[in-house]
Amino acid sequence: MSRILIIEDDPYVLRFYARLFALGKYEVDMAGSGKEGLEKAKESKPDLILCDIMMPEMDGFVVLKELKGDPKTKDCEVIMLTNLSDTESYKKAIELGANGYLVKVNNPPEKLIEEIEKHIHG
Amino acid sequence: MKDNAAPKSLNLLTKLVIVLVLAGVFLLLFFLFFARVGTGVFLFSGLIPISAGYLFGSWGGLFGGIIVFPINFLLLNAVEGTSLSEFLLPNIVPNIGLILIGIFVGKLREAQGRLLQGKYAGERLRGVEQALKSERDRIQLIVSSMGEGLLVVDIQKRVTMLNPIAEELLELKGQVAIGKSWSELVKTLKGDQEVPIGERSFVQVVETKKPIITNLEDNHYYLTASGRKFPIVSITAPLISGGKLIGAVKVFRDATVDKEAKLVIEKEVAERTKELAEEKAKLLASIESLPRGFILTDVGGNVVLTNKLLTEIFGKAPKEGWTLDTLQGLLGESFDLRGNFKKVISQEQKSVFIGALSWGAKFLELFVVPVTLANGSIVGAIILVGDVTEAKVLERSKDEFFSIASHELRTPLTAIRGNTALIRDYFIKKVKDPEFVNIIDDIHASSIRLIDIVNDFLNLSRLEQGRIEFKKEKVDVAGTIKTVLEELVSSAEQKKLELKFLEPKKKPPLVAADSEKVKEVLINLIGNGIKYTEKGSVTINLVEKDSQLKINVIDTGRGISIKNQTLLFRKFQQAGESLYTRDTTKGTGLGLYISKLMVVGMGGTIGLEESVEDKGSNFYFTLPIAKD
Repeated sequence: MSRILIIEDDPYVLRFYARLFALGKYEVDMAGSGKEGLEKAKESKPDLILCDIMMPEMDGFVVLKELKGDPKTKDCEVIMLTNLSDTESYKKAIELGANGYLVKVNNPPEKLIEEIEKHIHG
Repeated sequence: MKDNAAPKSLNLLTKLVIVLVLAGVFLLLFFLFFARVGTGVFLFSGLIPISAGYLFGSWGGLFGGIIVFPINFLLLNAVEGTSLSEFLLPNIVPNIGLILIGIFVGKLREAQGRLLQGKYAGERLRGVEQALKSERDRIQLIVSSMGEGLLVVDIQKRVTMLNPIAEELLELKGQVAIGKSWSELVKTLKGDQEVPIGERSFVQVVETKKPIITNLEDNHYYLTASGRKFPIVSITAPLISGGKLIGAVKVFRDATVDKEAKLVIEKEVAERTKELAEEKAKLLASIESLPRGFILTDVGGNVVLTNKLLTEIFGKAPKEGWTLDTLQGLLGESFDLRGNFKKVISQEQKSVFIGALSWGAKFLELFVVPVTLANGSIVGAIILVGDVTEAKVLERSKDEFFSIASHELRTPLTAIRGNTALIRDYFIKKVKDPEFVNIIDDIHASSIRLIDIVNDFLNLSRLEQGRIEFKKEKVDVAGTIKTVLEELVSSAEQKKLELKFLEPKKKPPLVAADSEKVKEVLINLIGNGIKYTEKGSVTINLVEKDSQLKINVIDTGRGISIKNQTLLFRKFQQAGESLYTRDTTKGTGLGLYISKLMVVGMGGTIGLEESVEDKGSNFYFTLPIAKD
C-alpha cells in the first residue's frame, strides 16, 4: 500500500484530502505545517508527498528545497498541491525540483487520484 | 553788333543797298568799256564806302570813304596816267562826300540793327510775360481748388494770400485779411489753452527756417473771430528765394472728422483689447483648471506656457528659456521627448500617448499633440503630463487584492467541493432520503460555480496585468472546436439543443495562437450560445478572411437588443437593461470580456456579427493564420 504524506496548513482541506486518500485505500500521513512535514518525511519515507505552497512560517518552496536538499528525502516524489495557478509559481516549483504541480480547484477528487496514481506508479 | 535772332526775310534797306551795288558794278563796267573812265571810277569808288558802311556800321563807312581816295588815284593813274597833283584838287570834295555817304549808310544800318534787336527783345519779353501769366493762372487754379486752406504770410507775419477754403474755414474775406497780422486774425489753441504768439508755427518757422507739421495728437484748434473753434492739422513751411527767407506758407485742414474717426477707432481698439483680454483670461483659466500639467511649446521646442499643476508635478517652476532639453532632463532617459516631439510636429504621428511612465517613485501619463492652425500649418506642440501614481498604486493593490482574495477563496472552496464529491462518491449509499442526495448535489454544484467565478476573477486580473503568458503555437482550430463540442454536448442535450460544426471540405490553415486560450474562447462563446438558447441549435463555422481565420458561433436564442449590444464585451456586463436584471445563474458576465482580452492578446479580433431579438445571435472571432 502506498504511503502519502500531505503537508497542508488549512485543517478543513487537510482533513478532506486525508479522507479522500483513506477512502482510496492509501496510507495517509498528515502534517499541518512545513516543519511538521519535514519531520514526518524524514521519519516515514512516504511514496508521495503532497505539499501546499502558501503556509505560515515555512512556505512550500522552503519545504521543497529542504526535501530535495536532504539526502534522506531527495528521492521522494514531491507534488506541489496548491491553489496558486500562476505560471511564476509553477516555474519556481519546477526549478526547485518538484516532480509535479497540481492546482487544487482544477483537480477534483477523481482527477486527483488519477494524477497521483501516475506519479506513484508512473 | 550782330544779333542771334536774324530776320527771316531781307528788309528794305538791305534790298536797296544790293540794288545800288549792282548798279554801280554795271555802270563801272559800262563806262570802263564804253564811256569815260573817270566817271566810271568815280561811280565805282562810291561803292566802297557804301558797302563798308553797310557791313561795318558808321566807322566802316568812314574808313571806306577814306580808303577810296588813294584807290581812285591809283586806278586813274594806272588807266589814264593822271598825276597826283592833277588828281588831288578836283577829288577832295567828292571824296569827302563819299566819306559822308559811307558814314550815313553805316548809321542807317546801325539803327536798323537796334530796331530789330529791340523788336526781338520785345517779343521775348512778351513771351516770358505770357508764360509767367499762364503759370500764375495755373497756380491760382490749384490754390483755389485745393481742399485745404492755404495762406501765405510775409516775414512780418502779415497775410499776403488766402485761398477760398482758408477764407471759408477762417471766416475771413481775402480783401479784408490781406495785409493784416495773422496772429490778430486767428487764435491758436492747444486743447483749451491759447498758444502764446512766440510758440505759434509761423513765428517758429520764420525763426528756424524749418517746416513744422502739426498732427492730430498735437491737439491744436483755431479760434476764429466769431468764436468758432475747430481742430486742425497743418504744415507750415518757409518760403525761401535766392537764399533769403521771404515768408512762410501754411496748408491746413479742418480735422473734426479725423478727430471723430480717431475717437471711434480708439473706442473700437479699447473694446477689442478688452475682448481679447477676456478671451485670454478664459483660456488661461481653462488651462489652469486642466487636471493635467500643461506645456505649450513652439515648433523649435521652446516652452511658451505652462500651468501650476505642471510646477507641482515636476516640483520646479518653469523659467524663461526652458526648452525641450530642459524637460527631457527632468523626465530622464525612459522617454525620448525630442524624438516624439519631432514625430508629432512632422505629422508622422497624430499624437503620442504613454499611459504610465515610471518616473522615480511616481508614474506619469504623457500626451504629446501638435497645435494646428485652421490653414493646416503646425505652430507648436502641447505636452500634457499627469501624475497617475495613485491610480497606478490603486490598480496594483487591486490586482494584489484579486490575487490574494482569489487564493483565499479557493481554499475553503476546495474543501466544500471536495467533501461533497466524497459524499456522493463514497457515502451516498448510506443515505436513505433522496432529498438528502439533492441537497448534497446542490451544495456541490454551487461550490463548482463559486470556483468558476473565482477563476474568472483571477484570470481577468492576470490578463489585465499582462501577467498571462500567450504561447505561440500552431493551432488546429477545427480540431479544437470538435474537442470543445464533445465537452459541451451533454449540456446541449440537456436542453435538447443541436450542436453543429460546419467543417469546411478543404482543411483550413493553422493559426498562430495559444491553444489553451483558443479553447477557452470557444468554450465561452459556444457555452454562451447554449446558455441563452432554449430551443433550436448552436452552429459553428469557419472561413478564411484576409490573413485571418474567422470563426462564427450562431445560436437561435433570445438575441440581444440594439441598446444592450453596446454593453457587450465589457467588464461585468451581462447585456441587460439595469443592474438588477442580472441573470446570476449565467455566470459573472466576465466571459466575453475575458475572451476579448485573450483574442486581442493573440492578435485577433472579436465581436458581434449581428443579433436579432427572439431570432438569435451571431458572434465571431478571428485569429491570425500561421505563417510557415
